[in-house]
Amino acid sequence: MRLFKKKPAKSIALASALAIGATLFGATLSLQADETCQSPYMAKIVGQEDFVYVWTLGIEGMGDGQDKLVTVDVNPKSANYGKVVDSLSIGGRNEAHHSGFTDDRRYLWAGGLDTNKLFIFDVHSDPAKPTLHKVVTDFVEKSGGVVGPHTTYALPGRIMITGLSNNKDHGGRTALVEYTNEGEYIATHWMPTDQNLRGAEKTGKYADGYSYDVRVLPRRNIMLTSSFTGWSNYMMDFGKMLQDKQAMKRFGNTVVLWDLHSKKPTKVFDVPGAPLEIRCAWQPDHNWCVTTTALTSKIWLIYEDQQGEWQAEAVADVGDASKVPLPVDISISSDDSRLWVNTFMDGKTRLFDMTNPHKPKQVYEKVIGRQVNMASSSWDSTRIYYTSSLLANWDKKGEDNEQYFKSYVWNGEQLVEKFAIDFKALKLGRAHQMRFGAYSLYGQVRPEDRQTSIAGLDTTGK
Amino acid sequence: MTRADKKLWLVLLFTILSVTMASAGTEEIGGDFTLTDHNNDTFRLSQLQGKLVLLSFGYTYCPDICPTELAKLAVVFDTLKGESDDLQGLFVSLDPDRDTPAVLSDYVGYFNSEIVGLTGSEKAVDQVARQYRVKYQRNDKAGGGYSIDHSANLYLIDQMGELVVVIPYGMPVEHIVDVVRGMLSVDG
Amino acid sequence: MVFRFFQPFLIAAIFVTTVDANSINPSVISAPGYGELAYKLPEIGSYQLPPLGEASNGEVLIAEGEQRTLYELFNGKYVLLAFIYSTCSDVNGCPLTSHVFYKIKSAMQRDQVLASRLKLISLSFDPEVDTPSVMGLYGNNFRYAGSAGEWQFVTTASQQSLDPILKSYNQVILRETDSSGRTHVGYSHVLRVFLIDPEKNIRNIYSVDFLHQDLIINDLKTILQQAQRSGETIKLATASQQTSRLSKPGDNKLGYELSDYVTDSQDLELRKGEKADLLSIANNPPLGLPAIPVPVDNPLSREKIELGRKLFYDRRLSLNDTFSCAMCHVPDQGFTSNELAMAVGIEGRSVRRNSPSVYNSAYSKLLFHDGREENLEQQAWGPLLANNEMANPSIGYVLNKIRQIDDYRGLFEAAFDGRSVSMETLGMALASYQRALVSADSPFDRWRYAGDETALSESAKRGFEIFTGKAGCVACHSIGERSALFMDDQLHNTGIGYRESMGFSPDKQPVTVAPGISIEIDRAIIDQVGEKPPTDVGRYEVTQNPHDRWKYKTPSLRNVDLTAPYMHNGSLSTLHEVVDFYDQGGVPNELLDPLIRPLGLSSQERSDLVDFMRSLTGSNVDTLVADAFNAPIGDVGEGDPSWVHGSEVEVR
Repeated sequence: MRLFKKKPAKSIALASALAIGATLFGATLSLQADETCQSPYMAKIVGQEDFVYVWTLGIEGMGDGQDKLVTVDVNPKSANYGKVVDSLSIGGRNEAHHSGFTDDRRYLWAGGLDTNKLFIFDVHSDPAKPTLHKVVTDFVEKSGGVVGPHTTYALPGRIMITGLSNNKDHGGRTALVEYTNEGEYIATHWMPTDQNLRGAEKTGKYADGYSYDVRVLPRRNIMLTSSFTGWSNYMMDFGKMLQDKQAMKRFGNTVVLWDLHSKKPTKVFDVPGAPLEIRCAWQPDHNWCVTTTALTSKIWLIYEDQQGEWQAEAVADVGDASKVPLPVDISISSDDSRLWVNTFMDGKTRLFDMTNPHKPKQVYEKVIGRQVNMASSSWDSTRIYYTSSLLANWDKKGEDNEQYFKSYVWNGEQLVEKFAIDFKALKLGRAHQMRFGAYSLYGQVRPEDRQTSIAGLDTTGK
Repeated sequence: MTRADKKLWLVLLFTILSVTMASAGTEEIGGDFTLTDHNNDTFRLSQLQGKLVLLSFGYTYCPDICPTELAKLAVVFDTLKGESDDLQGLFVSLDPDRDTPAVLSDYVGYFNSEIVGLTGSEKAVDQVARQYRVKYQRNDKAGGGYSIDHSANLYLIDQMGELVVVIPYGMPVEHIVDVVRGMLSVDG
Repeated sequence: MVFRFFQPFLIAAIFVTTVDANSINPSVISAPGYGELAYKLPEIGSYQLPPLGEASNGEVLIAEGEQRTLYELFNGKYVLLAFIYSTCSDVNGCPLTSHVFYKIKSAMQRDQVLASRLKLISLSFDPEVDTPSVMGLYGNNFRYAGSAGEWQFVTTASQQSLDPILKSYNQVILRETDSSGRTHVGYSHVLRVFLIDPEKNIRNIYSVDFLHQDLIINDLKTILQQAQRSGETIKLATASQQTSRLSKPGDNKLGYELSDYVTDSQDLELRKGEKADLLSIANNPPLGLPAIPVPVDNPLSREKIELGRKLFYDRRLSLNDTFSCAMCHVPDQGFTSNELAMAVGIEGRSVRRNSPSVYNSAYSKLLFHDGREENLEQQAWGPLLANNEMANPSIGYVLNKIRQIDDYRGLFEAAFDGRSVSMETLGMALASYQRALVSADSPFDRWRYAGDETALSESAKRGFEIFTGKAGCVACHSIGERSALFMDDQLHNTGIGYRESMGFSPDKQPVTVAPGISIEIDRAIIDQVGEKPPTDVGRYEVTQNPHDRWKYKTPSLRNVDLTAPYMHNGSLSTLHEVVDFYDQGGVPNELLDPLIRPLGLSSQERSDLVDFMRSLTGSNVDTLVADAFNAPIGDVGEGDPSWVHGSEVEVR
């Protein structure tokens, strides 16, 4: 699980002062930042993150109307703390949604659910100012018809991309697609269907062939995928869809278990009501992952039982299901004891005690805004960031359509707001996925530290 | 560049060099050296002529690598006990401040009585490390105390005092036994 | 003095539990490579290891100090290549590589195939320390033990010759530096070990979690087996493809409202079909259909039909390359969309009406639900240019784009006597394909027009009597003596449109959230996330005649069983709901068509009517769908106008 050797906490702000194996136990102390929702293969930020990259959807008629990668400075020691320090427009509206780093964390891959483009940003050359390194425009053609590149998930030397739809009917049947870190197509892994279960066992009534998110537990050699809906639904007006009886039948009701190494499905579980985000436990003896169902408002536990068999179990309700609170993003703490669950409709973030993963209990809630989608927590669980947008045509309309990035600190009892950025006032657009950046990952020193520690040094070398 | 800049660059340059110089070089790796053994007697590598020497580096406060490596050495000795009397294990401390002969005596003695612990002045130890291209570095810890990062290969020196094999850290004990046995049968 | 030995461990343990209790770092756990694999490996040969790109070449020094290229070292073998440095001591770093390589080397002693086919190479990324002679000392390990198989230690002459190798293998090496600027003895890097085949393709990349000898050997044997079997066709374990299923939706949601719903999903990878002779189908329409009307200036030809078919499935014919005609007229969904009541267009924009089926559109004198277009040639441009459908900004934009797409080169010229793509020829080609999608010879046709009494079920026969008698459906869905189109090319007010424009929405709306689970959702919640629906006044929008308010075109009932949901707004999900609607006399309004009145049908009669409509499915629908599956789907590929794939992206 460990790729980079870990750095001692004291040298956080500086380059790669890493303890080598001889000081292994010292190294364990220093891992205290970074998001908890990333691939376990990925290099991790130690200490304070410097930036949050917000993959943002352009709004027609607002600013330049384009999708953009917005960089927010989140280091309290920085003069720019709490400010947008960069905004990189990438052309057109693509239904910007999720993003993820490569395993060496030098590049950020961000997908467009509508136009099926993959935008690959260089975040290592200057973490304060990402650049667009490469655009992949032939994802659909190369993958054999997969539409809606969603999760971009780091595997060793490559990226696993979940599709949401296809180019035949814009429905929910789809596949996982593998790309190399260099942006070259490798393979398509179609989801199991009734016609072709691909060796998987259909454990219940459903094998819909849908997909959404992907996570892995390498030490158990398993991969899990969840299921959402096809292009027609995720792109259409939310209110219109709720009233469309046909459209509402086109949601995923499955979680698929895969053999990670061979990328072959082994079990299809019934998890009705659109299971979305998946998070796997971090602790070495926790063989479980969780997901929440958007439409049926439940937390589901996917776990390995004492016989070594994987099972799916509904373990808790999220709010009042009859009010359709719509659980969206979730965030697990690095010790697996807590789970943040955001509910879009009531704009709440809810904290669940996961000490017994079979019996999660809500212990705290707070309204973040009129609508809320994404949550990203630092590794030490003290900092948590929120954004507002779900999908361009699913976001609330009019006054309720707040678009923001908000930074909170969790003090053990409550969330305390540190700052908020109004993405509409800045004419940026709809704020969606957040990813953390840091100078320390690339052996770089924060510009401010360069000046303070090296007094009078002309860094240009003239 | 201002004068202050230059000064700083020099300092940086020096620190970088000081690390790399400690181990780099075009001269042959290995060779004789003089240190103090765990009985507080002067020790020369060349006094072991005729014996196959297993040389390792570490320090007694070392939390994991050194004990595992020494435990491996102990297994090698136990396994080959009946086959040869011409084996000698050496453990050179890279932490002479803390590792006095007495401390070393307790430490290596715990693993195997055939292993000799070696220490010396900081300068003397550093010289040996350079000869064998061992990299090490002292790291102060936030809460006081320090650890020493170091490379942990095993050096096999034949009966003529020539370094013949370097076994990379991470190789299992079976392999070490096989190589030692192989060397004994070829050369001994 | 046991205590002395354990003390450091004790300190470590205390440290971990007190200081870092909340984030126990999983990295202290030794990598899987040090122990037994904790899971069962997939069977050898049961999975694929597609190439991950080419393994790069580079200049290295071997232990003897001589220069070689990596390719020379690969020497036509399978190669495991690891980057190491000899002073690396992170347990889960380079030593892990040594350990795992040793295990494989040991396996070579017992396994002749491994020993002869595989080679292990450790390449140092620290040329300063790791000189050829040091590499030699490593290599000497195997002079004395385990000589079978080859494990070579190599280095490079300098950092300059190393850098391109590191770059090409994507190995980022950072010299560790601490807060005082002091360079550390270590490097930080992402551990990657490469499995390379004799063709120099990288076949797998192993990181800490995957670096295990059993796994690597499993992969190697899998590749060896597949290389040996190459040429043999590998059969997918699949259910046998039943052609009769092609016309059914690939993602069938029949019965989703019920808790005993089970999925019946078809595999997209197996979605294949045979090309049909559409020209002869069009020239000799199936039993029950008259000859198709063909405009004098656009006679049918094989080339036009084929070109039209290609255009129909080409997603590049939209502003952002996401929409073809077939995205709304889906072949296995009755050439309409079973998945949506009302269509959505580009960027998810709302379309006000249900996608009509393309089947038998050859016979329609009025096109679109409001009948605003008169022939297929012209109709084609409507969706292409509609802002909420394919959203092309202009006619010229579409033509120019097609001119730039390589795979259209010469096709228009061949189909239209040398005429290139134009507003006219594009419409003609699309019209020709759609015109050929004629479908009949249904059980009804065989009973009615071929006198086959057994073709139609008794209930369908009773349904026919009601259809033509008590219910009076035939007044609009006409049936002739020698053929039947089941439409009248007229527009009628059934009250559906009136209800939608003038009616009031209930406070709560039942919404299906999972199979068999429906929730009554407050209107307020729906309004919060929904735009106000656009108005729709039907034929009036074309004629501006107040009498034409909420009039919509009569659709043909041929293949009606395949074209749910029904009515111009898709508001009725099933044929039963449609029959119930008419049985109740539609929705009363001052312009309600006088033919629509309460029918007083019994439940048996209603069911018979449905059975009759289900007997109208043509015998060639599977053939037409198979032909559609055979058509290429146009997506952005290399060289297309919208194609970008460089690393030189100029956006700012």
